[in-house]
Amino acid sequence: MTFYFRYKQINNFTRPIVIFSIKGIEFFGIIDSGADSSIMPKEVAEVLGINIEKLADDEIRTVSGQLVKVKRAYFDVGFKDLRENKTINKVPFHISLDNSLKDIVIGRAGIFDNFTITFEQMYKRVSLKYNPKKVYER
Amino acid sequence: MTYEQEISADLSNFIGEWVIIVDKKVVEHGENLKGIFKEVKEKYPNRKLLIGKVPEKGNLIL
Repeated sequence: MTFYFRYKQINNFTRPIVIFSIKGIEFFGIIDSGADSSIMPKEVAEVLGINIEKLADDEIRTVSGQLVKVKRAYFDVGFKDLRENKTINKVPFHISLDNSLKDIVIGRAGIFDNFTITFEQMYKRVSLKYNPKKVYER
Repeated sequence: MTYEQEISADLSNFIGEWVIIVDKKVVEHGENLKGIFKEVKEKYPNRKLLIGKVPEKGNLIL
């Protein structure tokens, strides 16, 4: 099972964007192999009906070195195409509380553990092949 | 045959804004997601919504 997403062209630039769902609402966000975990601005959590105050506190470090206070939540994240769908349970998200992190970003934790993800820059597409990690006994 | 998903709506007029897409069309946009979400839920109560923030231009290092 592989989900393919065409990069989104906006004027003269493109971004690798994937479409996913949480609690029955579809979102689009940038997929980023360099991000340890996924990020959503607090507005998204509010739309999902999450009580942000009750979430655990956490911190993340941005590429500029800035430490940003965030909240931590876990969501079941669904992907689908015309024929198939797959839900990954308990994907960790960091919820940014201010404007320092504005975009929805799909990072590695929970997602890259379950999919082999290929960025095809020359074809302007990214694919997510469901391939959950196997635990081998030694 | 592979099926590529894409956002077909033209987002170039909404850079940096939240957009809500229904049936491949941007039906609302703005900086306040909660506000536009409420409006769209009232206007399209049983429709599938696609929500996102339109990325801004410039080299992006996350």
